[in-house]
Amino acid sequence: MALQLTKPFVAALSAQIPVAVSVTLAPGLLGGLFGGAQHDLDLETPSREVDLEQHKHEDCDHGIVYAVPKKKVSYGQKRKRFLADTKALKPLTNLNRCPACGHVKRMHTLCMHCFYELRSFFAKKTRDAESLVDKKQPPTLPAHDEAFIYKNKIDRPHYDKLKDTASYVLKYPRSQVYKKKDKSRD
Amino acid sequence: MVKYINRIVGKDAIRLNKMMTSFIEHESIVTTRKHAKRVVERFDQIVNTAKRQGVTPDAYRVYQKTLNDLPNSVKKIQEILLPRYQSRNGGYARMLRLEPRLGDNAPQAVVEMVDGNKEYKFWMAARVVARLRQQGLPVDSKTKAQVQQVTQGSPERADKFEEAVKEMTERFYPVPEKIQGSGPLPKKAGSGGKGYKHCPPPKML
Repeated sequence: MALQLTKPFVAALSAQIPVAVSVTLAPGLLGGLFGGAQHDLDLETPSREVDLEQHKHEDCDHGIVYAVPKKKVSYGQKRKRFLADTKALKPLTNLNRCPACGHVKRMHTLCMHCFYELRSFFAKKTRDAESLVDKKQPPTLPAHDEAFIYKNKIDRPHYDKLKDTASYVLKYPRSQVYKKKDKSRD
Repeated sequence: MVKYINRIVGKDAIRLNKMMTSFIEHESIVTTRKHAKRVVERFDQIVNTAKRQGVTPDAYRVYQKTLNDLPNSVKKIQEILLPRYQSRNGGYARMLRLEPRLGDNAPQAVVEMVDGNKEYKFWMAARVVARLRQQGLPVDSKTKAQVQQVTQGSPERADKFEEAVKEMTERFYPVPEKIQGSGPLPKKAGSGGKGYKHCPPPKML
């Protein structure tokens, strides 16, 4: 991030830069060391710009005051901001009962559990229908040809992880059941 | 998303083509709701052009724009979809809402063909009716309305529905004693005959 500064601001800066002060005090002694610095602080030229990237490793801030908070944010104010009412989780009011399984579901939607059950039911139906149709058997090949064309799959160590789909595939949790009211309580 | 009015170009067109092709192949797909709505609209257009024009070169141009796997999907439109939708004047596909997607929480929906193989509304109604019959409970008004929606159109649909009810009982409710969680709710005193009490919305703290 290179900060480009215009001329009047640099003029205000130059008073507080220790390099410049030392140059004015002892030009004879330090002239050899800070000759470059003197050249940099030539403010006479109209569009002079200073690149602060060059000075970033020095200790001082060159007298520049950046925008910072005026005071420390108190513990209470911080907690107020973090735990505001709008950020809290709101209770769901649009809940309903699934007519098929009796568990809780959102209104105007299908129950996900029943949806997946129906989907697997459809899949089984299509599989059964396909099994009835006679499929064309692939031509029988000699052994060495078959070994070349249909290569045996090599088991690699990360395949076991991939086979265990329950560990990494996200799954909808089963929703709650409507409980019957206990008569013994009342 | 769409730059031009009434024109779908570029990435959107390609995505819609893929979705339409797989929808015609599988008869039901799961996507986000906005895509689902588009598929429903586009499917109506395709079936209507097929009804009006068949496989003339003009109609073929329409299919070419919107379908990827042309020979198979056009064949399916001609042989299966046209006779199926001869008695309807639109509304050939339906969109049902689902839970938001796991991961990015996008609102999902399932698109299905009306009178198709994988009609979730039809089979869901059949399942509910199967449960109620097994438990010996009367069919409530909402389920009645749903059954009426699903079976209207042709008298064959009612027979098909009865078969579906039988299949559902075999698959999900073979033993009536084992049906869990779906008994009638206990009636509370202040609920006015309903199973639940009216709950006011939560107060802001």
